[in-house]
Amino acid sequence: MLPQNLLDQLKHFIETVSNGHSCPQPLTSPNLIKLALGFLEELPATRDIVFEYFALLAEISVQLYVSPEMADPKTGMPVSQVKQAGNRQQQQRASEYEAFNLVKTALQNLVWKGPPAWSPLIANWSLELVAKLSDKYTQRRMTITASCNYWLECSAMHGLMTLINSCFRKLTQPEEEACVKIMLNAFHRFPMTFDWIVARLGGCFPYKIIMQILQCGIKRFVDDYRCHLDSEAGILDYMTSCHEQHLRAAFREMLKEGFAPKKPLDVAVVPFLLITTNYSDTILQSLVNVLVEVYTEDMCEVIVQKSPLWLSNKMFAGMQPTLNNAVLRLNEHGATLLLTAAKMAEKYVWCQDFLDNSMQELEQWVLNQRNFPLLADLAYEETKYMLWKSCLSTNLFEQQTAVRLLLVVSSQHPNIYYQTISQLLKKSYAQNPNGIGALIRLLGGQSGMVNFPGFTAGFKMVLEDITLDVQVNNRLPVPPGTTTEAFNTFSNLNILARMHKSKNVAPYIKAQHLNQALNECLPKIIQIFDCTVNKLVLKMDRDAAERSADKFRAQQSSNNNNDDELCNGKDYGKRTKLEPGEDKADDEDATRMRLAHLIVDLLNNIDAGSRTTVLRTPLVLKLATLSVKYFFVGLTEKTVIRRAAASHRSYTLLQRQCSARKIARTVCLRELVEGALFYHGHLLGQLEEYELDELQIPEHEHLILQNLHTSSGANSNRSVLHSGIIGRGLRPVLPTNERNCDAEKQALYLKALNACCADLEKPNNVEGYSLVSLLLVELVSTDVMYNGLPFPDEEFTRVTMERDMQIRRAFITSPVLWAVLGLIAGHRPALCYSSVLLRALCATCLHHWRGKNVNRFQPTAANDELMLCTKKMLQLLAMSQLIPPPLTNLHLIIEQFESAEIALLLRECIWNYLKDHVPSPALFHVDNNGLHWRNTNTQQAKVPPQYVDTLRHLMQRKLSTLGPHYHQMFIMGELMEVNSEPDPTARLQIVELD
Amino acid sequence: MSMSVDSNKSLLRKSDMKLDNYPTCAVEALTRLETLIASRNKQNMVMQIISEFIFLERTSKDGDVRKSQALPISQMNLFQEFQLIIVLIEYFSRPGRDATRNAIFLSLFGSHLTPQRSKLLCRLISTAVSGSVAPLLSSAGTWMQQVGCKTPFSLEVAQNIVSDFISYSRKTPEQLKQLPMVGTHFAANFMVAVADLYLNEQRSQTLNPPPDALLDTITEWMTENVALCLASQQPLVLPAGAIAMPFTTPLAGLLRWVVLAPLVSNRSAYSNLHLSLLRALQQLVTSGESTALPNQDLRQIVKSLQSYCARLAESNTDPKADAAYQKCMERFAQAVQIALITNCITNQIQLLCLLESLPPHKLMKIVIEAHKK
Repeated sequence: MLPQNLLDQLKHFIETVSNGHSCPQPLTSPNLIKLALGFLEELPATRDIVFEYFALLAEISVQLYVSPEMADPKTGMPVSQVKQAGNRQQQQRASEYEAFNLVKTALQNLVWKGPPAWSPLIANWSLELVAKLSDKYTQRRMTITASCNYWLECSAMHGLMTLINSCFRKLTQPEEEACVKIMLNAFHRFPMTFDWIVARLGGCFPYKIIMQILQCGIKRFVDDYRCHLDSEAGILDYMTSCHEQHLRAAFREMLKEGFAPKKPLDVAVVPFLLITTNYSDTILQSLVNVLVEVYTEDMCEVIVQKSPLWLSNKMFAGMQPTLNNAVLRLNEHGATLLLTAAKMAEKYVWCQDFLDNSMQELEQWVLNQRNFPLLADLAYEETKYMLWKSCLSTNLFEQQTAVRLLLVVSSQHPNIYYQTISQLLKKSYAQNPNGIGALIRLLGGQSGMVNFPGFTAGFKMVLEDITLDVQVNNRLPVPPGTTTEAFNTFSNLNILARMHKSKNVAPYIKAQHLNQALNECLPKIIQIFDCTVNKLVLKMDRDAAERSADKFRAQQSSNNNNDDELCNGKDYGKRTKLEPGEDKADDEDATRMRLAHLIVDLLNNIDAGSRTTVLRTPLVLKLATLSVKYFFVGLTEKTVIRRAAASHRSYTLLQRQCSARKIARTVCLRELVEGALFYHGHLLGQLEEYELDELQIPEHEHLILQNLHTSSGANSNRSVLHSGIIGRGLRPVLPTNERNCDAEKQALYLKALNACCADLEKPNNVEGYSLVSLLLVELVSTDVMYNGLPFPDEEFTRVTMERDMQIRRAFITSPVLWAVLGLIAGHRPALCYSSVLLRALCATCLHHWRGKNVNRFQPTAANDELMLCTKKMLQLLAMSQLIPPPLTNLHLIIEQFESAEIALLLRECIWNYLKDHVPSPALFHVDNNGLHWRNTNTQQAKVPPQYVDTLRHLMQRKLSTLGPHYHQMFIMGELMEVNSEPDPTARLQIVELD
Repeated sequence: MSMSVDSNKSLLRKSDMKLDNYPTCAVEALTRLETLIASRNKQNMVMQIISEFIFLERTSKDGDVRKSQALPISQMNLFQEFQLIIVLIEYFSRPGRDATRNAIFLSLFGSHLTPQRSKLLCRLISTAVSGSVAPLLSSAGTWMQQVGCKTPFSLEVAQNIVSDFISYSRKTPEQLKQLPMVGTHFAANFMVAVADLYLNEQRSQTLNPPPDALLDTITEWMTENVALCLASQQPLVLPAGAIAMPFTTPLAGLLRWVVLAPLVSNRSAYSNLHLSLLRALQQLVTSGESTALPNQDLRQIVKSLQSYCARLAESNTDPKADAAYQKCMERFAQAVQIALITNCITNQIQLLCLLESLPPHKLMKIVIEAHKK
């Protein structure tokens, strides 16, 4: 450009611009703008005026943006894209509105590519300009975000901000400082309208700006504690969204000063920060984050010590109410804060106040169904764990706070409620009972809340967990002595159930709900029970098998008199080797046993299986089976007391089920009888049958194979006589005396049967006992032929002898059968159904006594099995009134007779009587009390002489010894008949029954 | 006297010297000044007119300018300033006597130089440089010499030119490159001022090297026109009765640059500049002037070198092993040798003693030995 030309242009430019106020139109012409831009390079002296001109352009643009002339008539919003939308006039002015863009582009170019000197110049100029324009044209107060949105929509403002941003990126350290200073100065000048710019640009040097803003704020605060810190808080709030780290760092720095005040200003730090938090949640959150991060016990001391300093500030004194609210506004660490306060509450009253107020507020909000940030915090995973931990705390404040918080969050997040219940149930409260308190409180739910989740799901959750735990062994190695989660859970559930039962419940839980919930969980409980009991049964069986194997080995060695030492030696060696593992297993089994007891207790406490609860049939069956199994397992407990306790538990369990459901009774009884006879006979003194392997019978010698060759013949009887195997000699005989049935266990067993059979509503119902009777027939007499009630001709016994022998053997191996029959006999006419057993016993005894008759010199031992069997049988018949009065005393005197005489008596008196008077329920009638009686006093019932005469004759022969008996049996009876006194024997029977 | 001033004033007022139409009244005022300036008695009135009609200055109370101590405040806005600048440029571009022009320039900016006027002056000169307005630059050269090249006013002007044409410019504009041709005198004085701004320990704690573009420009000036340094010796065209101030050459300042430059920079431009300087010194012989290298300036160089050596001693470095220092001394010795020969150093013995106090350098030693006798 020629120099002269340049001056002309300058002249033109100056003229146009200085006339700009009167006619602004030419100001925005692109030519003029280009000229001005050219000046920057060609005529550097004009830099200032050119920038002034640019400022004018920006102002024109902003003016247009603000003026209603340019507003969209529909929305009232400024038209930003005037070229597309807008009316004609607006479109005309669009070029003016956009004029600054040209400048912006050129300047930006200069900043990016030009010499570095431009950046600070342009930055300062733009800052000043933005401040001025924003101050001049802001019509009403807006929030920072709104301001940002409003102003950045304006192309000139946006351009300026872009320019500043580009400049800031190019600045050196000292230039930056200068810019920050300029910015803050502007902020001081226009605190109301410049805040958005600071917030927007603060991102370029966040820490510096944040720190400066805080310092500004604190100064103002110190000057006047009532001042409004909206702008400061607004800026901080806005900047927090992207620069939270810096804000935190600034807070950290300030707190450090605040807690150790050196300057007079430092005293105001804490009150100031607290006041600032009132303005914005995000600031509060950041402050709390920092506080939680730096908090230590020592710091608490410092705070307590320094608080009087802060209290001297007037604002601080009346601030507590706002602080209470503060916790609710936290998104994070809220729970931590409350718990920390709770931990200190014992020590400081103000903490209690704070806690009380906060919690009340919190619960109020929840009741009003308001949403607030703290809820989100409470729902965090970490918070949950922390709260759970606090629930178990010994500090009551902490624990209660945690529970309340959990309740609050539960109303919104039921799953947390369930998980919490599950967790709390799994913990042991042996050391610290506070935990169960927490649990009870929690189960009570949040009062006043509608739709508060129920706790059934929680129970289900924990039970599900435990099921896994129980099913999969040794999931985690646990130190010995610790209780398992399953144990804890059931123990806790038990406590709850028991509390409910004893009506001593904490007012929180509605008793019915608890019971109902637990009953709803019954399938799960039963599953766990199933697993536990089955494992125990397996263990029991294994033990029994081992024991019997030992015994058998010992027996065999004593029989054969060899290998004794060796065998024992081996045995001991084996034991010691197994010890460590076995110990652990034992420990585990002991735990399992305790768990089983607990489960049964719980089942009893919640009345599981009672008529009131609805259960599906498979479940009923399962529960019944398991109850019986538990009973048997209980018998293996080590001490009498424990056995008794276990049995009592199972009685309650059995009785409730059996009286509630017929099907349960059937199953229970069958299981009980089967168990006693087959599976768990060893508990009740059953004689072991040797397993085939132990007899070492080669495969091809198996009886069943042998029988295929010779279906009948001379040696077919060895299966009947059970005396041994040809080629191996006699079967080793076990001394019966040793294996006498354990009276205590037998008693327990009978009580169990009784519990199943007894009908609480109809005490005289013998249905159950009849069932047992039928079951015995089914299980002992395997042959369905001739299983009826009638006794056949005595001759006919030959046909059934084999089966009779088998039945007799069953009585030998399972002595408990006698006891069972005894029980049944007491409940007439149930024994009738076992007629076939009685017949078999009678027939075999008769047969054996006859056989004894052959070699009469053989003396009869006092405890001879045959004699005992005969006596017991006679006793049974007498007890069940199957034989009439004089014969009822036969068992007392039978020992006095010779074997031939006994055989005769059995045949003439017993067998023949029974053959003629079939033992059937029809013989009995029911009296007013519902009891079954057989009236023997009436004329028709009187015993015909042919059944008694044999006895009479035999007794007369031995009157010297049997005199008193004779008198009682015959004379007295006849005397009574004469006096026609009503049945004294009947009364006697009653006594006997009891 | 006051009567006449008043009458003049009223006379002025009658014409179109109304403050309302600003630039016109300034033009009018300038033409009036031309006549007024000739007479020495009307200095006060000249000042008043300048203040009121050219710079639009008002004191606290409209009236007595002399008595109020407060600086007059101009009411001009930026646009009016530029209007004035245009007026001034146009005025100086018109044909006229140099003496009058210089007189007016000195009246405008010679005294009462308020910051506002000073700012305006900077802009004016900068514009003149951009527009290559030779007459104005010539007056400015005179002004510079009269107020002193190293006074704050001159330095401000120099600084402003540097920032306008160097800092804020992508490439050095042609106008600046051709400055020696347009305004030789001004260029020489500008060099004196600029040389004082950089690599000067008296101004700043550290040695600030000049911007590269500035160095290049000055080197270019010097190589193309060796006599440029001597331009300031040209006699000034001053109104009658005015006393010309003593001139200064940029030689001393630029010598400081080239001698101290190795300490902060290793640009080759310094070598070129050094060569040009040596040539210029050689040419001084003919002129026979002896004040080209004032003793004071040379002492300043020695002082900077000494402080540098002190710093070297602090870090236990032998000056002999320090390449930068050796280079400095080499250049210094060469320059001193020529200067001594051309006899443009006053008080030679004193300088030689001073030079001896520096850590020894071979060439310098030879130079000292040669001239001590």
